[in-house]
Order: sequence, then structure tokens, then C-alpha cells
Amino acid sequence: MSGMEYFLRFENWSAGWLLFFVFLWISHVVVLKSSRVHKVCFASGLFILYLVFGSPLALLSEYGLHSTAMVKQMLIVMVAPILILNGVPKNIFAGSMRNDFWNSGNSKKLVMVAWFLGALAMWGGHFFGAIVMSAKTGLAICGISAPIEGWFSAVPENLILAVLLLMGVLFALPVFNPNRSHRIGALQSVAYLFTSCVSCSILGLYVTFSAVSNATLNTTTLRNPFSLSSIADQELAGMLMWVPGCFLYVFLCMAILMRWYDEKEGQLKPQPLIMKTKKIEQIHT
Amino acid sequence: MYLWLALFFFIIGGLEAMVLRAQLALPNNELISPETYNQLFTMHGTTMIFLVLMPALIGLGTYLIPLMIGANEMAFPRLNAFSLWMTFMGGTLLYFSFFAGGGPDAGWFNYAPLSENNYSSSHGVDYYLIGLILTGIGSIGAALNFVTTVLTLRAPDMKLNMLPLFVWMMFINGFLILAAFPLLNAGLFMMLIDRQFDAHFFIPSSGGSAILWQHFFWAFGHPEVYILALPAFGIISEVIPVFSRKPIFGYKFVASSTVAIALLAFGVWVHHMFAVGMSNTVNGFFAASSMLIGIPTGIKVINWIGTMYKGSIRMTVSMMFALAFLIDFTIGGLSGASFAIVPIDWQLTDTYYVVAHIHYVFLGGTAFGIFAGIFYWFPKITGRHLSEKLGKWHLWLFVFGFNMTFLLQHMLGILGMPRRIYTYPDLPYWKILNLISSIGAIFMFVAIGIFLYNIFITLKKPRSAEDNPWEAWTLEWSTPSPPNLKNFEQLPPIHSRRPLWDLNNPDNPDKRLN
Repeated sequence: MSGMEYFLRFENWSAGWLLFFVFLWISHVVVLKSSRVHKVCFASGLFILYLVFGSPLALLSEYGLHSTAMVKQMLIVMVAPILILNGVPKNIFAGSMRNDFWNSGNSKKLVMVAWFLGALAMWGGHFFGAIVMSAKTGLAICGISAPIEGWFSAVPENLILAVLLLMGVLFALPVFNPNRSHRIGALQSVAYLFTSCVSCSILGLYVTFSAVSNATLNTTTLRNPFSLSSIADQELAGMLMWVPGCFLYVFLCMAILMRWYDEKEGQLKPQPLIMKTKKIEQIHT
Repeated sequence: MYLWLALFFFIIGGLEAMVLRAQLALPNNELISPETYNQLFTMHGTTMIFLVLMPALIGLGTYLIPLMIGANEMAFPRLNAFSLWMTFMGGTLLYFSFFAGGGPDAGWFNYAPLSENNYSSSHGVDYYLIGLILTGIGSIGAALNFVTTVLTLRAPDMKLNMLPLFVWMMFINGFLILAAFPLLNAGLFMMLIDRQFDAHFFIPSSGGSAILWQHFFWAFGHPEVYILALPAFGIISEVIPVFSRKPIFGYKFVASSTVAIALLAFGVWVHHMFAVGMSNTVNGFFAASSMLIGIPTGIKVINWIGTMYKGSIRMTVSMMFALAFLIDFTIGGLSGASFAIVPIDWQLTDTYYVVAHIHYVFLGGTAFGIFAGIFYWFPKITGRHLSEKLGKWHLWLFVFGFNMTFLLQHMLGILGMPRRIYTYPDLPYWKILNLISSIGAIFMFVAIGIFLYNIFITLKKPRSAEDNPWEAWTLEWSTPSPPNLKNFEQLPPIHSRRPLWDLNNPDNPDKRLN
């Protein structure tokens, strides 16, 4: 069976997940007063989630393909949360309790925590996913091997993905909060995203150049639909996280900067860097 | 002093290039020995990159950034002096190697294991390592100074999104230097430990990895290309609008594409290593990412052309160098894009095609940008105008000689002539192409002689330059020429990216940004 045939087989597409996500989207349209842009973004986010949970992609990890696990992890941590947050109208985040929480003076700490959650989702998702996959297939994934049929193999993959999605949303919140007044400043956003890009690049680099164990090389000519060898699979996984992962954040940085260049002072959020320059005012006058 | 340092080493590096071209002018030539040839091409590359282009750009940045942002000094003047003297010390040590048993001879990239004790037993490589560590520390200090100066000493009304493009590029460049040079210095230290203390970081026979050196070097080396290109982009982005009498077309595209270049620069270095035997998966991804990085550079070229479109262009020497930059840098960019295609890279790697490409980027790009900047800001720096007549001789001879030398080297590369060879057999077309290439080098040599003479006679003239001879719009032109020790007694109001335009055209000011 070729890769194309695998994707075209009707039974590999889950009708249950499709109905669930369609229901979510209809609820979004009916309940929330959202613009067309919100609707499109939310639908795109749900479509990404369907790819992860209900498409043939979801089943590919059963073949022990690390690259498909990486694709799912990237979609659910890095792509879907941004689309979903951009699909939620501002008023849903306008409650007074949430404002108090965000303006409690701990926002810097919260941003740091959110960033670390994102990094944890990238790195932890990779390692935990590799352990679970190894426990299920008995293969060493990216140099990680777990005892077959150990307790790891009992962890439902969808639960891991749901946790990763939650972490991804929390990670994206400081930059893509539906309520713009709760977002961090443009330059801080660029720094936030770029350091995330560095994180995913290092992870990609690590995965790409990690040694593939001889045992894996010898035992696996996997009968996966793409006929990928273990080494090609691992390199593909690493490169996906390294290059497209990093480029995603770079493009987001660009989008933020393009808006920032045309902003007047009043439109900018107060930024510590600009405030510091006021001290210099005395020197100039 | 940075600029004088760069000029001094430019003369030395240029003389080395002339000897190399003399050796290569004819087949089977034995003008110099193979050992001397190896040392000269190594020193030529190292000198031009680390001791000419870097100091020249840092020098322009150090002089102009405070003036362009309304500050009276760099944030850390002592660090500034420290950076300069570290660069000077690094250069001096590098050249001292000639008096200590011979210069480094493993190329400017110093690939392992050639550069390890087994294959380079003289002390030349040690001097290379220590010299570059010192210049690297100097560059990091300068970058720290740029970033801090821009963040803390801007005029109160000048927001970050109002920075002149040259300052913006130097600012971003500062981050690039801060991220890239530590990688090089780490690699240099590791190799020094290999050579001095018998470690094995880069020695495969004892468990190290020669490829690891290439990763270190090119993780620095590819961003270094942009470290040398971005300031030149900044200069061009100042020169073209002023001499086209139009504001820059698409400021935000030029500025944000700079950030894109800086961010992407760290994700493409593996394309320098396509020939080391990595898998097709890795090669494929890096081919794609290397293609992508051409997009922001292409955007800039379109912006510069858009700025000139329907402008009232004044063909000063500075503007003509900017135009030469546009053409030759684009050629260099296109040949670079061809290297992103893996099969082409495999075919052409280590040939004269690479030599041509690197010279189109560094000489046709960065050096032309520096020439444009020197002709543009010379009146501000010295209070005197360089002769436009001599400048045009310099320009035409240099541009003609440059293209004569290096355009043909693309063909030499395609014909299969490897680089770094001491001499070559008399194969079809190799002789004539090499001879023409060497004659082109003579044109460039004469052009530089005219440039030096131009500087010499201009500095002997009395100061006569006006404050703003080009009717430019950025803050440095509001100061006397040359500026006072304290740059600004009083700052003009700053509400846009062109404060002097607003001052002179109160009825038609730029869009207010604060």
C-alpha cells in the first residue's frame, strides 16, 4: 500500500471526530458573536485538530513512525493553538476576574511560565511520545527504548495530545490573547517567539543528529505506508521540527513587526525599553 | 581609528591578492612556492573578512550611530576602545605568524583535520586561532555597545520604529554578532585545546569529529555573511533615498526583512556542508530553507529599485557605488541561490564558482556598500568632500576590474578549475580566463591607488563642507561638519523617520509616528 492509497482509504478517516469538530464549530458560530475572520481561524484550528485526532495521520504512529508523531506534536502545540486563539472573539476574555488575574502584577512571571510550558510541550512531548511509542512498538525511537507492554504503553495517546494542546494554548496566550490589551508588547512578542524558535531548532538538531541504534537499523525495515527507513524517519522528524518549526515562528515575528512599524506611540503598549530612555531625556535637555 | 585600521589591512590584503593573481595568471607558473601560496590565500581571506570588512563596518557604526540617533557618545566608550585594540591585537598576532615559522595555511575556514597538528605542524594555525579569538572578542564588545547605545541613548522622541535604516541594520547586526561570534570562539578554543593540549575534539582517528568543526564554523560563518551584508544594506538604504530625492519605498518591508534575514541566518548553515555526505533528507530541508532566505533579500532589492523609480536621481559617486552594489550583489545572490540546489552544489563545490560567488557578495556587495558610505559620509566625518572626478575614475576602474576578474571565474568554476590550487595545467580556456582575471585585478589595484590618493589630497585641503551638503534627512546632518566633540547642542524635533525633512518642509511633513 502506497502512502497515497493509505491516505485515500475511507476507513482511515474518523467520522466520529469529524462530527465532534463540526459540532464545536457550529457551537462557536451560534453561541459566540464572532467575525468572519474569527470563524475562519477557528475552523482552521479545528481542521488541524481533526488532522491530528481523526485523519490517517493519527494512525501512523502505530507503525512506530517518529516523523508523524513529530508532525502531530507540531500541529497541536505550535499551529492549532494560535488559530484557535485567533478564532475566539475578544469578549470571551473580557470578564473582570480574568482581568484581575492578568493584571495582578505577576504578568511577567506568567509570561515566563507560559514560555516554559511551550518549551516543555516541545521537548517533553518529544521524549514522552518517543517512550510511549517505543513501549507500544518495541522499537528504539530516537535512541529511546522502553520495555514493551510496560505501563507507558497503556497511556492513551489522545490524552497526551490533549495535554499538549492545553500547554500549547497557554504558551500562545501571551502573544495571541484574543484581548489585545492583554498581549505583551510587539518587541517582547518577537523575543518570545524567536526564543521559542531557538528551542525548537535545538530540539530538531538533537533529533536529526542523534544516533540511530544498530538494533533499530537491523530489525526495522518497517512496513509503513511510506517505506521510510528508521534513519530517514528520525532525520525527517528532526528536520520538521528544526526548519518548518522555526520558520513558523519567524513568519509570526515578521507579521508582528510589520504591524508594529506603523504604530504610533499611543498605539504601543508601554514597554520597559522605551520607558528607560526617559532617563536619558535629562542628558539631552 | 577602525576605518584607518581597515584601510591599512585592506592594503595588505589587496597586495596578497595581487601576488595570488600574478601566480595564477599563467599555467604552470612558479612565481611563488606552494607553501607561500597556501599561506597567502589563507591570510587574504582572513584579513579581508575579519580585519577589513568587519572593522570598516564597525567603524562606520561607531561613528554614525550616536549621530543618527541624537546621542552624544556610545554607551560604553571604554568598551569601544577595548574592542578596537582587541581587533588590532588580533590582526597583529595573525601577521606575527610570518615571523614565527610561517602563516596559517589551512584556508580562512581552517577545516579540521587539515588544521590539526598532524597536518599543520607550524605555529601558523595557532596564531590564526588566537588572533581570531581576539578579534572575535572585539567584535562582541562592539556589538554589545551598538545594542546598548540604540536601546538607551536614543533621543527621547525617537522610538525604535523610527530608527534610520542604517541604525536599524546595525542594531539587528549587533544581535547577530552576539549570537554568532561565540560559536566561532567556542570552536577556536576547542581547536586550540586540540593543538596545545592534545585533546581530540576534531580528530576522527581518536574519537572526535572533523565535521563538528564545520558545524561550528558555518553556524558562525553563514550569519557572518549577513553580519557583513546587513550594514551595507543599511548604507544603501540611506544613500539611495537621499540621491533619489524620495523616502525609502516600503520602510517596514526593508526593516522587517532585515529581522527575517537575521532570524533565518541561523537556520541555513548546513548548505555549506552539502558535500560532506549528509543524507538527502537533511540536504533537502536545507536546500529549501536556503532558497527561502533569498526572499527577504530580494524584497530589499525591489524596495531600492522602487525608491529610485520616478525619483530625481543625482549621480554622485556614492549613488553610483550604490547602483553597482545593486547589480553585483544581485549577481552574488543569484549564484548563492544556485548553491542551494544540492546537485549544483555537489558539482561546483570547491571550484572557482565559489570564489566568484563569495567575491560578488563581499566585494561587490559589502565593499561597494562601504565605498558608497565613505563617499556619502566623508564630508560629515572630515568636513571635506572627496573629489568626485577622482571618485568616478576609482568607481569605473574598480567596477570594471571587479567584473573582469570575478565574472569570468564563474566560468572557470563550471569548467572545473578547483580553488586553492597553487598552479594549474594548460587546459582549454583556463589560461585565457585566468589571464583576463589577473588583468582585471590590476584595474582594481589602480582604482584603489586612486582612492588612496583621493583621500590623501582631500585631507590636505581646508575644511569646506556644509552641514548638510546632500540635503539629507537624518539627524547626523544637523550637526556641523565635522561634528563637535559633543555631537548635539540642541536636537531638532523628531516626529518621523526624516526629522530634517519635517524641519525644512513644515507644510508637508512625513507621517507623524509619535
